[in-house]
Amino acid sequence: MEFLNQIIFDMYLKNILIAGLFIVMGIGLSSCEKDYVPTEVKTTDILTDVNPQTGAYTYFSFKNGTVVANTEAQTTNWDFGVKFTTFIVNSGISGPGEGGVLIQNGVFDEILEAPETGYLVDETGDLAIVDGEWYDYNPVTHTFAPKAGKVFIFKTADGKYAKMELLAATPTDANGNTVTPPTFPTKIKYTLRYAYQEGGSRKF
Amino acid sequence: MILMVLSSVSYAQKMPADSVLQRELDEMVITATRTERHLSNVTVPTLLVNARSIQMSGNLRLNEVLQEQTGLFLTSGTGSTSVGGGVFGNGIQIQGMAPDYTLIMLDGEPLIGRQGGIIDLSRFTVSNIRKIEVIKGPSSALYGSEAMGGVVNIITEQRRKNYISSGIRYGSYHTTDIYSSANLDAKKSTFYLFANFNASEGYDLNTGTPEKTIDPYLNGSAQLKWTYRFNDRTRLSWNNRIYQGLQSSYFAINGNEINISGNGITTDMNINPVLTHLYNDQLKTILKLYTSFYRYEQKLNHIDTEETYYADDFQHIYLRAENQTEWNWHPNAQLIAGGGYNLQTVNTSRYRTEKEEHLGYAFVQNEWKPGAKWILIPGVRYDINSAYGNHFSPKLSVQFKFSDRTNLNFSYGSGFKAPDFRQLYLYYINPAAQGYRVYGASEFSVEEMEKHLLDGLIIKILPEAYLITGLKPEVSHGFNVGMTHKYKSRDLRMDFNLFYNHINDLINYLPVAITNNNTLVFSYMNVKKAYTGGMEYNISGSFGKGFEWSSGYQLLLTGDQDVLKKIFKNEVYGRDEPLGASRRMSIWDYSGLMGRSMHMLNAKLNYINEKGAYGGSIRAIYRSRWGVLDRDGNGFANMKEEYAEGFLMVNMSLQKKIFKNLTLQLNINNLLNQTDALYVPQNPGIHFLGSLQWNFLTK
Repeated sequence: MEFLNQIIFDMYLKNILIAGLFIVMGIGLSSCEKDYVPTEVKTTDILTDVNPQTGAYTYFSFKNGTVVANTEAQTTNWDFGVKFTTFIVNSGISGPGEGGVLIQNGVFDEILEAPETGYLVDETGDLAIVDGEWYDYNPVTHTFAPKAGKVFIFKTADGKYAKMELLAATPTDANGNTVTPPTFPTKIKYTLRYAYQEGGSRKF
Repeated sequence: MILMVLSSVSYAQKMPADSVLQRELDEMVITATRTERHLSNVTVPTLLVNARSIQMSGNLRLNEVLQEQTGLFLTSGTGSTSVGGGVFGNGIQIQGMAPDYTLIMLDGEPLIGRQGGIIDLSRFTVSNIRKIEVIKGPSSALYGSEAMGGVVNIITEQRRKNYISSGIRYGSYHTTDIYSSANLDAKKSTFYLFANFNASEGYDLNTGTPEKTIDPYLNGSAQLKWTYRFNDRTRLSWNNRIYQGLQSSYFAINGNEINISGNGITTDMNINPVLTHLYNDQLKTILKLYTSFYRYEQKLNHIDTEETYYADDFQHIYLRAENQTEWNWHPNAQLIAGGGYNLQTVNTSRYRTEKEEHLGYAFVQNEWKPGAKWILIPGVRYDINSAYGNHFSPKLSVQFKFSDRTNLNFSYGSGFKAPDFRQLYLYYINPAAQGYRVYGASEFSVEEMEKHLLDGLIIKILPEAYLITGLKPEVSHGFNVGMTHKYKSRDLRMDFNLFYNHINDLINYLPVAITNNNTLVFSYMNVKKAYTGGMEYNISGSFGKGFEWSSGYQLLLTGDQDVLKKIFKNEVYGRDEPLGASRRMSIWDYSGLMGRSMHMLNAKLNYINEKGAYGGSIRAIYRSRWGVLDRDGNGFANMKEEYAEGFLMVNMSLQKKIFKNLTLQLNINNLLNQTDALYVPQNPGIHFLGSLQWNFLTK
């Protein structure tokens, strides 16, 4: 029932917000929700290197919704990085940010609030996102597919929240054109679906 | 349950005109009980394909013949161009069990040479086949490992006659097939000699890729069978066969130009002496010594630099000694008991050292007829294996003759498949950049991983690693309940069978550690449970003067119990389209195991005119869609893009006797031109084959 309440509550909130922010402020509905901003679900593609040794990480910023240059690796301008199947978050050994991540089993649209705790950070020999946790690898066809129902919940480099689902991992050439075996891919194209809460609230 | 497509043990060419339709209604089969029995007394689902229907179909290779039979689902590997000796070829599924779980025998002896778990059935010509017997359902109580889905027994020619026969065929894609056979029968000895040459330049179903769908190949096989009769009661038969095939490969890596080329050479040899002695009417014993050798060598080079791109050499030797004794200890009972010893060695660069396996086994079966209406056959087999320990396989089958025309059959059989060499001993590090590793269960040790944890090669050991122990055999329990019925009109018959197979301890690979490249280390474990179940029927009859027809259908339902449990717990997710959002899967979304068609249907019509001078056949085979990909990691096909499309294939042949001993035949296969380059590469589009066959009999 809590779950249903959550939906009703959320819809109620949205309606109110759409009706006019001044009313929300006027009745002071949520001292705890004052940072809530309606989120928008976006889908985007990012390319990453397949070679775990010589390849570079591709850094992504939820705030900008784009890839960030590698030169900014030591800044808080990115939230997660990916190289082949290895994900890092802007935290711990990987970056100066206060990021973190956890993976929840569930339906993206049904996750309406990020958990308060449980975010993992990158540590030496123990990255927050364990390789193999979110995909199925087929050693016969050498293909891997992101598992459905794995929702990544990020704490961004500057402490905001985002949820993300990987829709596909497509082997491509350097320009992002799909390749099929036996042609060896030089890049993997990840298709991501995400929602970013810029206001700082944990609600999406 | 018992399917007879067309029956007659003799070739059409030599039959008197009026006997073309004369069915030998009760042919003999051997595979169901290890001893000759009338088909109507066989208690397990048995399918029989005889030489005449093979000849009339004009098919050249065993895979083509088997895919036209009810419930036999031909599945191919990943295609001729895949790297790593991936020419897995075409194997058959029986009752929804994968080709890995089907025992293939040649004259009663097991064949070796599995690539990716599959014995490529296109290795076998059908020109020397007298009949093919297929037992559906687990038969490990008689045959041991691999006889889990069923048994295919290819029985080659040899008759007490003198004849010479030869054929030449030529058709689309320069497909050429030549065979010659001679059978010489003397008072004490009978010789059968056979040779076949087969070649094709392959074909291309997808011109969008630089590679051909099937690259050129050529192969040859020869067989010598000699039977020597010491006296009325003692007989020695000596059966030698050799096959050698060359499959070329041309493909493009990192671009659209063909830049890799090479060959795979398969060699397959069998030597099989059998001594049979009849002590008296009650006691018979058979001693068999069997040697089989299989080798697959593949070498692929960069075309420009001539550097090796990939090389593999796989050698498998199989030796077996077996005795079987049959004792009619009571007028209504026969005991068959036997045992044997088997040694296998495998040598390949993918294992650390040469591996060997010893197997000892014993089996006993008692066939008992308590009264005229009942047949009861219990049996057991015990295997003692050096690699995985001991295994016990029971069976029980019962027939009740409801009436002269109706038999009811029930059978239970246990099946098992021993962990194969790959699952036990693979020691493979992918040479490409990812560097993932696969260790067979016997090669994997947590201690080694912990050592690598210290030297930095491994950065994390996953919890599953601690669960890896010695592999156990995969085990199945199969149940069949069926009925056969002959209508009053003696040409109409039908059979019906319900089947259910429960499979435990299926071996699957799973990640056990993470390397410093952040790639995975895999090993094998007994983890999965599954079931296959369904229904099969066959009906056949004749009409007019010379028309014969048949039709068969199989309904197949399969599933993985662990996935089902998770679905009921609402823990399974999936996508409805490749880039769609995930949603929770319900039981209605579940399609069962991958690679299984729910519906398979065939219909055949044959005609031979009264004098046997001309005739033809038309055969249609339908397969509904089957899961091929898992794009959302839930373990089953649920979106359209995860399925291969179903297809309908129609094959036709026409034949005419042009001289006394000469028959001209024309085949038009895949009339509807249905192709699927990715998932049915073994089916070219519409293709033609003309053949000329010459038979000369002296006795």
